[in-house]
Amino acid sequence: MSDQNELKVTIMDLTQEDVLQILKIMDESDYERLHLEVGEFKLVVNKRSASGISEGEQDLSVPVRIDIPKAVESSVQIRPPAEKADIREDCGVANEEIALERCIPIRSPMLGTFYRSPKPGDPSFVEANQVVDEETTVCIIEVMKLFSTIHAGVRGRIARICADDGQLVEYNQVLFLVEPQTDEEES
Amino acid sequence: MTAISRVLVANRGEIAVRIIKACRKLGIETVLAMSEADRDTLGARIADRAVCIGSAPSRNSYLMVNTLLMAALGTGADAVHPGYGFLAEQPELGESCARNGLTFIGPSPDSIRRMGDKLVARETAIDLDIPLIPGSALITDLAQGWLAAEKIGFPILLKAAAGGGGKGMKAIYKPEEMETVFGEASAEARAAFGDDRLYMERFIPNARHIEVQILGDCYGHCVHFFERDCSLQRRYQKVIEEAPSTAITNEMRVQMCNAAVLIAQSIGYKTAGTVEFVLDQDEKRFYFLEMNTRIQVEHPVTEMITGVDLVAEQIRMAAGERLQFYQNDIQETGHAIECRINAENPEADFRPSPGRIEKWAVPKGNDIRVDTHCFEGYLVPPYYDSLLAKLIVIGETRQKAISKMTYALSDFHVSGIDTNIEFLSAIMNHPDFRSGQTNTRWLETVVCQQGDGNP
Repeated sequence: MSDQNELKVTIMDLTQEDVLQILKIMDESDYERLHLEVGEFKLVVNKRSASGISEGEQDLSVPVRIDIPKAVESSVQIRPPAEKADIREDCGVANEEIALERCIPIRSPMLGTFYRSPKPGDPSFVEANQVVDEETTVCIIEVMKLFSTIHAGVRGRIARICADDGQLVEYNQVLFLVEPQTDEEES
Repeated sequence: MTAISRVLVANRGEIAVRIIKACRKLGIETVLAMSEADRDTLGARIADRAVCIGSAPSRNSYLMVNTLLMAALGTGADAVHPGYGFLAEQPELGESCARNGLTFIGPSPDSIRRMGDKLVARETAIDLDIPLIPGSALITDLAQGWLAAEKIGFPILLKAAAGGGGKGMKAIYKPEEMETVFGEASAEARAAFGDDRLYMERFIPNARHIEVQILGDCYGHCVHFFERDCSLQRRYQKVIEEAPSTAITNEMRVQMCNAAVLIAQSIGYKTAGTVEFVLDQDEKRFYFLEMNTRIQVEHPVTEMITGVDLVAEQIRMAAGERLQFYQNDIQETGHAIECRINAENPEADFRPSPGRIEKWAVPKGNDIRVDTHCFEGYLVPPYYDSLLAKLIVIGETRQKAISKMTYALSDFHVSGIDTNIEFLSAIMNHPDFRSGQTNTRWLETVVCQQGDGNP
């Protein structure tokens, strides 16, 4: 499936530098997804959009040429197919869960390190599918050894966890997507 | 000191772009710390990475030391460049960097503190026998104020010890004003700087602002890159800067430049800095004013006449490299002028004019340089200063530079927001400016007609 937001490139020979350059082009462009095939390796990159929610599918396909410098010796550091699932951890994935469009994002109120549990080794504050309300602690953000407890601020079900434990998150970055509960669902 | 491989750029606008370009040139990666309002900026596009540090107001973003440190540490940066303004002259940022193993691209916190306290800076100059504006030491009460005022003579400038850069200054023209202004000055200083210490200086009516660019390494070497003349100011904000100054003799130039190096060396100053002097055109004497412990807005005019890249050198010095210049290696050629292009309406008391730039066309030419972060379609935010671009030209002589600047201004087209371009052109055409008959009050009193009309 190709659309306006997907850039498809197939070439035979690629260096690590080429990959970095492609990613840079991706980053600076308006494309949201990159699908790259090099021999038997496949790389799929999804750009995280500001709201963490898919903008929806478009029907137009726009073929694009990229001039990629010819390969030199070094091998490409692309994960083999078996680990492909790990690559797609990004929260900006536009996929089959239509429910994501109804979700309310919980955004980080500051730049800092995102922690899912009170201390290393402790269970996470929240897990996927967990029901939360406004007061539920969902995570901790740490800035230079100062820890801030973040509360959900909304009522609903954790539809998606959008940041990794120990990851640097930016101001306003989407941390969780919460599917709001309707009156019918609550009982 | 270790080599720098990734810099966190803790600033915005044109200086962020300038720093990123210098880093690129040195093969150093860049991470831009940006506020919410600065997501779609030129800096964010050209940096290797950009991270959002907070909401638009500076106090929630660019002034947050811990957040900036976190942004640096979290992105693998090994150095922080503070630019100018914001935290550039707050010792806390340099101290936090040092505590966390990051290289601060600027002088030591000690240098910043010593020159940031204007009273301590004056003491340093006194110890080195560098001429000082006739003035006082710390004044703690009105009685002391009267004693000092008698010695100095009216009119007087009452200044905050924690001020600088044109902030925290009040003029007292007549003895009758003393008590009121003194009270106001204390209160305002306490509110603005958390420090109500005051001192006095003689008010010099026919003055020029001359400053010397210096650069030091961490081995005690220091050189100067000659002077800049920044006398055209409005409310203590520089509008036009030139290098060299045509108002000083060669002898004075040598004395000022040597004094600047002396001051810098005496405090073990490293990276780029500027020592400011006041030239009393009536007495034909110069006095030390203050030292700025950062890269300055107007650094391009020095770069144009000496061929140096001051920002790259600043980064090199911070990385522990040795100064690659001997003083004799540094030559100046030609005359450079810089005009600050601001988003403001001179006809409405210079009211700032944020908004979306519809057309943005800058002049081009061999001897024309434009430092900017703006582009067509850019939304100039209302939260920060109004500087859009710096337009710099160089000519063989001052007259040729003025002609070139006149042409360049006429070819600088901006629509969608107000700018001061026409105002700058009017200055270029003014006979006083062309003949060099100006001083620090000229722009306000003659051109803006806000003073009493006496130059």
